[in-house]
Amino acid sequence: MGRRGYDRWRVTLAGAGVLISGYLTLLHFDRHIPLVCSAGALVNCEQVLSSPSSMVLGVPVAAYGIAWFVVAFVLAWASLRVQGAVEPPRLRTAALWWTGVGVVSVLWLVYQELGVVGKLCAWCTAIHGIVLALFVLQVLSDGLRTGRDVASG
Amino acid sequence: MARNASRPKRGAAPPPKRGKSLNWLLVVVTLALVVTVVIAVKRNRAQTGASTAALPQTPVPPAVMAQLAGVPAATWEQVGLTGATPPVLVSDTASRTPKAVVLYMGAGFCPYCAAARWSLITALARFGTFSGLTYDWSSMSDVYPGTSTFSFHGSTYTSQYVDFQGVELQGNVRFSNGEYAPLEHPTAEQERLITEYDAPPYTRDTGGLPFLLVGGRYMWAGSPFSPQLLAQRSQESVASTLASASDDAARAILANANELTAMICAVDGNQPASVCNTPLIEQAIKALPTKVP
Repeated sequence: MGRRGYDRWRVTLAGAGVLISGYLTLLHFDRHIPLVCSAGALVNCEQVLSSPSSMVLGVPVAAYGIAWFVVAFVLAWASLRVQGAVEPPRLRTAALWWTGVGVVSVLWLVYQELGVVGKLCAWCTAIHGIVLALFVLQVLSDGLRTGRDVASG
Repeated sequence: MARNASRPKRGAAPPPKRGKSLNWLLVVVTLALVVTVVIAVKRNRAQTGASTAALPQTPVPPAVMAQLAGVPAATWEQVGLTGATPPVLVSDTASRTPKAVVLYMGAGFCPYCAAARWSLITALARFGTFSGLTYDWSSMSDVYPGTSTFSFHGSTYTSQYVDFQGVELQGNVRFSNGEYAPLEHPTAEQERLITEYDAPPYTRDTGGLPFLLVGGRYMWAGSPFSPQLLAQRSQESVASTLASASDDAARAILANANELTAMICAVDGNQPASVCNTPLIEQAIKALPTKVP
């Protein structure tokens, strides 16, 4: 896959992340919106989304998720729009750091789910998967962005 | 990801290749994820072990279910309505549902809900069958700590006369911030009913639990008897006294169950006759309130 292929995936995944985070944020503010998720022994979205861990500084974690994915989307879109094989270093570095922040957040959220609440939220897990995928795409495509191997190859 | 293995052509732009410098990050993140999951699961197991030791969730044994559902007719008559809490009439409009809708909204931590469930279960057992009930206890850090009861969470009730809607809003395990774990969401209609009726002029306070509404007409808000009667008693101990109504707890449970039975009979067309057409229940139906506050 070329850099543009990676970037298309980044745009798609970040867009999906915005949609899912938006849905989870709406659930926080409107109890009449149906929560499509099982309520089993391990997977119980309601329990996770209603737990104290679902709020940070009085703001739903999902709302932070929207902000994070919007930025990730913009960075991915900017990368996609860059013409030529080599991406500007600032854009590459920003995207790498941003996905790194996302990964650290995912680790904290997974700990909250499994360690504190004791349940998994299927929607949250989907979001975590998207964040990790964005990080992996960023790392795997790193050489294509720097053009380092191209120059030395 | 597939590597681009094609050979560069002279004069064309060289094909992109994958860098290796940051791949170690993937290993670090994978390890961090594994370590996080392991630590989290260990912490949760330690927590769960402690909480289940204090508040075990055990299915109600068949023998206890039989005692809850097998109160002899003579005992019902003997207990009567002495000490029963009359309901509040919130609507004088007859229900149009094919079955009598009995809506209960409570919470695991709530000792008043714990007491009310005893009367609710023994009354409803006269109209249908429960399955999947579990033992439960009210919060250890609230008034009347550890009141013995049952949980409707995860249970089912089948009846040809009654549509029972049991909503356990919260459990009895506290998070570190002092809030109790949420269990079940009410529907919009259930929320409308509790908002409309669990408030003045129908009740003294707003939003108290438990909230019980029979056929959209008769309401109990709060416990029909004091949880103190169940203090230091196990479910087995209380259930074993029901058949003979041999102590104050059993008499309070059954008297209020008689009151509840009368409410149900009043809205379901007096069915079944074996329950509703007894002198006691007929008398109790006549004594139900007729004026909306």
